[in-house]
Amino acid sequence: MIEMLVLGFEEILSFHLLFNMFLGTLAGIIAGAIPGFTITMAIILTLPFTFGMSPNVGLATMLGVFVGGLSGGLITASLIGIPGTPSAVATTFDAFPMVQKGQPGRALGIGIWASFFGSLISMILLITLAPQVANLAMKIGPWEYFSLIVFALTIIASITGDSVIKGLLSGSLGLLIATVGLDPMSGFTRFTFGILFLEAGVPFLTVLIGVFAVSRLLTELEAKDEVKSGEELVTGKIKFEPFATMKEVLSQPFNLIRSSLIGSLIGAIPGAGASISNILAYDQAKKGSKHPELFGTGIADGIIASEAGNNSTAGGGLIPMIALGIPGSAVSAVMLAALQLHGINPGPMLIRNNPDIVGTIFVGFFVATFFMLIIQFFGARLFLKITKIPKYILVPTVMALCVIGSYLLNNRYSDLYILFVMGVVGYFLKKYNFALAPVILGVILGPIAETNLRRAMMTSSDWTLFFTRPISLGFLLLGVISIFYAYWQNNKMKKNRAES
Amino acid sequence: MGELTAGIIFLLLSIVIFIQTFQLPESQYDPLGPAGFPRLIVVIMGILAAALIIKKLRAKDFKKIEFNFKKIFRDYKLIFISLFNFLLYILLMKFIGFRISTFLFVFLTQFMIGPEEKSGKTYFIITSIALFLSLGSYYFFQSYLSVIFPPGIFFE
Repeated sequence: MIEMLVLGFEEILSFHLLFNMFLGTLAGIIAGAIPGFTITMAIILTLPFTFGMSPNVGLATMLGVFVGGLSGGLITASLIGIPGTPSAVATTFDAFPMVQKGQPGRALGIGIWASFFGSLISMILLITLAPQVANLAMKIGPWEYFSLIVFALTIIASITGDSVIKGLLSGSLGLLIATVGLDPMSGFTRFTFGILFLEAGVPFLTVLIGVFAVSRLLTELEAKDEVKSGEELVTGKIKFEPFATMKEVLSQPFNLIRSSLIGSLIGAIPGAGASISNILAYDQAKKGSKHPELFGTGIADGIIASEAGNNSTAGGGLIPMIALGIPGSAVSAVMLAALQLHGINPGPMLIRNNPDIVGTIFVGFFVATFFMLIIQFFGARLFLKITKIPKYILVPTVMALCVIGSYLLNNRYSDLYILFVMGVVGYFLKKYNFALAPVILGVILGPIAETNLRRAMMTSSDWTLFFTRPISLGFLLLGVISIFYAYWQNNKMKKNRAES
Repeated sequence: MGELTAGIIFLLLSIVIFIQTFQLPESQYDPLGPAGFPRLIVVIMGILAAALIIKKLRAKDFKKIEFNFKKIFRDYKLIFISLFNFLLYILLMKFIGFRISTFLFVFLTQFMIGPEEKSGKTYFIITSIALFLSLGSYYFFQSYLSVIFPPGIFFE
């Protein structure tokens, strides 16, 4: 193991490699910050540039994009309340309220440090646990998968906002939206009502941009006199204190480690990756907290959980890729393809045949995390200026970026109609206090749940398998506990509020 | 009142989709078929919507609504303007192309929802942003990602 790390260091320590990696991290952060521009997209874009590089340099550059991208979503999520990538949805819950309280520097600082420590913890796990976690991930069949998704869906019950019924309705709306278009198993068209372009389905990123970004921007325009007078998002002086925020993050070691463990584990299981792990980590932080009622009001705990959760997914996602040659997410699938283009076949033999490559991944991940920290801190003062842009400029600009992002996803003009409709739906849901995050969770998890449920039933019509396979039963039990706990906590919070 | 309406909309939606699921084909090899999962969702949605409606009716939470369109329009003026421009932007992009429509949307919306009295500097800023977004993103993504945005009838 030590030899591998030494080999990795030898590979990494060249100016050429470090320079490319730095550029990669910077590109990742920028891509992550723009709504609608995904990390996967940024990595695909980087891929052609790496053709001319040696495998190590190419790989290190893409690692930079990956780590940078995961932390870039934080910038827009906290400063304007719009998740730059799906992995930053839960970051908006507390970071944006903190910004509205006039502390954008604190929100950004906490997020950056949580991302940094989350990455570090997941890297330690990656190095020490890769083979074991990969073995566990191999045991997952459609039954376990479906049960895992059921568990993830139960989170909806605790991120519902002020009413559980309304939150669950949002969740079911998300699940329903995901069924529109071609059925994932048999290819029949469902619920298109004769509208041709709906046959291609409703892309989940378009729903994310519409429901979150467009509705947020419209809400920003409700105070029309402020907009007219050219008011900014945050008035008053902005403070940015890197060391104070580091202390704040480190004062919650339990939250930090728990969120990073959740992120790494979700990353290791092939599936939705960081888009689930941030919400799951946030939910667990809230459930484990002594003051759950403060979540969503702009407290550090929520930002730490979400950002440590999503950044640690990177390390976790690399585990099955290195150990088994199976990508844990779309992002690692692209990385896998890149390795193969360079003539390297990841899998059980990789560690023996190409220790230099594995060493580069381990050390590269570590270095990319530091680059991310440096760029974020030097850039922070610049990013914070976003909150000083008058709303009448910000809103149309970001709306146009939403259109560009949605169009870029599939080069499909009709997606823009979907964007518009989703924006209006999202605005009304928000207006009547329906929580928005469950919609996104439903859209992401719906197709995975349906595919695995049907696959399981096709393999064997015996539905008791969901309860007799131990890992599957474990996930289902966690789901039941999760619902009851959320219910109990909700009641306690209501009582507390009534007393105070 | 809004929540009651929302409950009714959700209920109607679930009924319509529930009926629709019966038009989907069944399959021998796939016990659930294309209809099973959506049916499960809309049944849950229907029950939740009914619960919401009953809850609101019991709470007698419906004030008499006054639809004063003038007041609604006045309060939400900027939202109407932005949404209307946004819709026009999307609809017109096909015809006048990405560059012109993006420029017009960004420029006009900033112009319309911005301060009444604008200085020369403001004009300069909003024009530059509109130009940057329309031309900049067009050429960046076209040359770099080979994305083809709608060119519009003037450039064909």
